Amino acid sequence: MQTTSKRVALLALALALCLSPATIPAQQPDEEAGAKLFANVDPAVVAVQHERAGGSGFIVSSDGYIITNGHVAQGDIEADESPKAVARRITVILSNEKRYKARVIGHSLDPDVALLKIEPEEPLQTVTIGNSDTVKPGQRSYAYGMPTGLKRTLTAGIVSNVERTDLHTFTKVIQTDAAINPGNSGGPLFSEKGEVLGINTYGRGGEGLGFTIPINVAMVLKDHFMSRGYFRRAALPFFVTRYIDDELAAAIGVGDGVLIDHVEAGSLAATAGLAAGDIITEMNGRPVVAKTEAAHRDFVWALVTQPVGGQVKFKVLRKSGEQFSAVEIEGTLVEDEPAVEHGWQVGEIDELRYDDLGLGVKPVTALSRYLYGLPNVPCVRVTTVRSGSRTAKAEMREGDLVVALDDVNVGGVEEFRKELDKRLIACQQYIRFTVMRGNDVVRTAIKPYYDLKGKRVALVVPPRDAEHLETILRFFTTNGCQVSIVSSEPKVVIGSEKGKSEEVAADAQIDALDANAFDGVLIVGGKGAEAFWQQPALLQAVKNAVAAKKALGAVGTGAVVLANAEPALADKKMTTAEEYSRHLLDKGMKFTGKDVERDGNIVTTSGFDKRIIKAFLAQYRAAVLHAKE
Amino acid sequence: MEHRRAVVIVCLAAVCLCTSLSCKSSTSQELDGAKVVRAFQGAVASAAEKVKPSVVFVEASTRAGADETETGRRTYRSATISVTGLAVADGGFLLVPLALKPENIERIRVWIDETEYEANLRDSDEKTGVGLLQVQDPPQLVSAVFGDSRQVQVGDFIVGVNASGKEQAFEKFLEFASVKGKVQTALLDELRTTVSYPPGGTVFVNMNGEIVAMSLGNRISLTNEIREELGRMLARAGKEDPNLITEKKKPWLGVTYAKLGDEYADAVGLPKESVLIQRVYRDSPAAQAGLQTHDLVTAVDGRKITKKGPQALGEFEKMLKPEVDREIKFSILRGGATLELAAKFQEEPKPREFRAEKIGIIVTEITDIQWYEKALDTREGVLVKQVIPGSPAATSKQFGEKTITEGNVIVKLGNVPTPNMDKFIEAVRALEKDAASVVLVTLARERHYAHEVINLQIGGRGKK
Repeated sequence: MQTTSKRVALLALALALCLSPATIPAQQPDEEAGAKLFANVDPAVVAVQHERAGGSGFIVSSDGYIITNGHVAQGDIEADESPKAVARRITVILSNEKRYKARVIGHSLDPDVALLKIEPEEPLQTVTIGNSDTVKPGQRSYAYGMPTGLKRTLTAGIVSNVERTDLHTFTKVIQTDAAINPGNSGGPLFSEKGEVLGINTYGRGGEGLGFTIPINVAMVLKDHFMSRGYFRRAALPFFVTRYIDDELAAAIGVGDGVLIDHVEAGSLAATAGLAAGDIITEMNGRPVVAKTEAAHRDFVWALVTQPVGGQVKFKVLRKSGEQFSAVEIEGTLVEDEPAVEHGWQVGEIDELRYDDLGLGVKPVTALSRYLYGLPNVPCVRVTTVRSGSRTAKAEMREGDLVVALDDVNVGGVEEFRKELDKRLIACQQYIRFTVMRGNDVVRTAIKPYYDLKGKRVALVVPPRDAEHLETILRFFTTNGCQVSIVSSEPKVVIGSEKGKSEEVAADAQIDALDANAFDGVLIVGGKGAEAFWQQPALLQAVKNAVAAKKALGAVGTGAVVLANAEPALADKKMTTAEEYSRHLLDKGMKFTGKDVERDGNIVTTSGFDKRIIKAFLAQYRAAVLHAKE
Repeated sequence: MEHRRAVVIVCLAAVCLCTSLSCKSSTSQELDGAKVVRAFQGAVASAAEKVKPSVVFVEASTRAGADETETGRRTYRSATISVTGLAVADGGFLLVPLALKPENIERIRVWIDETEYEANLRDSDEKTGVGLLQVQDPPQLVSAVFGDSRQVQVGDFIVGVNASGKEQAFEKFLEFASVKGKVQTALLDELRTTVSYPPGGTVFVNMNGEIVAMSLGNRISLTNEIREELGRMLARAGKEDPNLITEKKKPWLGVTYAKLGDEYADAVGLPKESVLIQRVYRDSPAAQAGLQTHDLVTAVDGRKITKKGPQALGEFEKMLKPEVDREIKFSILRGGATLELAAKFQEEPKPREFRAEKIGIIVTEITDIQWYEKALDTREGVLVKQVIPGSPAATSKQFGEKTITEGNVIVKLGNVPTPNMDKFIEAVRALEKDAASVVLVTLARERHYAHEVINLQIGGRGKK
């Protein structure tokens, strides 16, 4: 029998690995089948937990790659002010109750898939991957989960639907009536044979609906995550298609294919020759037939999973008069823009925020233009206007499109940031904005309040591996503050959240740091700051700063410098990152463990995430404003 | 069947009358007093008498709020609403204080002269809160007569008439009231009277028997605006409004204005005693005068604007004194130079409208006003002003998504481009000649194109 010979072959292979995936013959009676399944797959299913949530997952390779839902791996996107944020402290718990720290290799919110990696001491048992294209409605299925690490749940049911599309997911999904709940979300859906058919997903957007993401989809994403850390969709932007049902077929006279609803003028799709009203009948030589929403999703999936940089060939039918003519279109696929509205390609669109102005902007993608009916002009979109802020006073609104600053066109976020930062650093009194609101062009101006104008702050920065340096630097410079970057080497690396880093020249060296020349000294944290812990010039500068009642700040590891420098600070409340707390305690400091701590003009923080850094900066600013001249 | 008789219940605000009557005890004066009261009672009764034949009892069963479960079952909450309906035009048309959605209605029943009838909702308007019903196979009804509700003054006497219900003694009740005050609200002008919460649909007549106000359940509204909406609803239903108010000519300049931002004024160095021109519509008096977007108005007819900020807007509005054919002069600041421009108010243009019955839409030409208000991408096409309920165009597709909605721009009908009203009408005529059962409509909606198929065989005004 095929299964047996497969088993033998696998067993042979597995000798070296000591383990083999389990399979179950389908003829066994139901109860026994369930029990055997449970026993066999148990070791390959895990619980996934982090500080904010939890779920299940399953092991797909013996060296510790684990698949789960994207939302299970998602972190606090508010605190980190980034849709890309992943949970920081993820723990994976195996069926034998062993715990491992996991890191996120890649995650996506739609399709809701994530890939984690743990480092096991021994090779792990994996699941057998099935083929979701061959799943049939009515076949038996089992949902397996480990919600809190100690409780295993196995629920059974049948496959109710293999092409559900009404949940607005990127791909069609499988529906089962085996109970799916928050605990087994991220866990596997097994066939009777014990092969994984998909990832069970619960609570998309908290709606309490359960469905299963086909395993074929998950495997494609796994490959993307492993090669580049995110799901890179291919596209020939920008066109929108729809499926052709019977009614539409009667109206247009063509039954097979997808109808192009819209092509953005001037886009690659337009230049390649696609036009609204065209009917795509072939893609890369294969016929395109989409009479249902599910078939349409399949078409889109087939398009986006092609390699970026490759060629795509379409055959389209175009109506001229009463006749159809066939046209061949060819184009080079590029990387699709992120679509955060749908959770696709999570995190590539961050909001650029200016908290003191109360303004937040985001770039505009072709999809945003399509969804929100935005004109095709180079601009950035205003996504946040804080009430009562300077931006609100200028009567800008969320949804406005900024096309120019002081009559300089801003075509994208980078340009916008460059132009606005330049003016804020120069303490420009009024900054004029030209915005488009619908078809109206509105001219307004913001008058920023530079409350740190005239103040000087020394940022003590490690040459490499500084944390949150960009945020801190921008905070001061855009508030009119004069900042000196003080380091132990002539050049300092500023890493940006996007992964790009910049090297800038330090303004001064630590040896020459004169605390009296500043209103405040701030020691930036990060692993690199450990080198400063015993730096004599720095310790002396801290002592001087304390004596002169300057604002003294420290982020994370920087607090250890304070502890080392000034025993007189022993009665001041301080905090730092948890890992470094013992350094403070050893020196007899009052470690409070809070996120941000301020005691007079001493301000410290754990620096755990961006939100905490911003709260710290608000306190530090107050200290600077009160510092003695 | 219930026996109906008209019962006159008059609750005289006796205090008012007594104080107006002499209280000197004198037989002849008392007799005179009684005469006055009787005459008054008669006047009230006859005022009510005029409108009673037009008033009927309506009961609507609705279902609201569907909760969809995972398996697709919907649960409904049912309710029965009873109101008074008012006959407004031949053919069984009734005005009711119900702005319901067709999908929420289970059944509507009407009682006229002891007989029960079925009725359909033809139209409704959320803004005014009224709806138009049509009774199936109706008997002859007397259409109500509306008066000019602007004439109603505080202190006036009005009489409310409503159809109470279908209990044993079916009655048309009267509510006698005096007007305590008029309140302008965002939606409609409301009356405060000595009657609180008259039943929904109660119509109030003046002493001439003309309807001037109507109860919408939680408020009493003056009827002039309701009448305008009623006129539109009847027009959509293909009926002429017997009571049509001739619409007054609206004076129009073709410009929108806004206050000058403080910071912007400081940034550029502009005077704050001014008003900013935001939009200048094409082919408008303002455009003809040479006004442009971002012009700054500093004086009107030689008089300078003296206030700043939002108060400048108020001052400016008072200076406008809009009237058709009035000439107005603007002193404006543009790019550092001062200009004097003169414009003449015209009558507000009404864009051409067309009712495409077969499809079930009413379209208008695209004017600049709509181009701005709806942030349209294109001026080539016709704008959908309304989708006629129950028509092929009103049929929703999957998930309740509408095929065509108000605000869509039709650029192609079938294969025929429709860049303007004439071409659209041509295309519709061609469609009517054609025996096609489906038509492909190419729309521009929110700056992108979409294709929708209208099945011409569904919907329409069939009898149940």
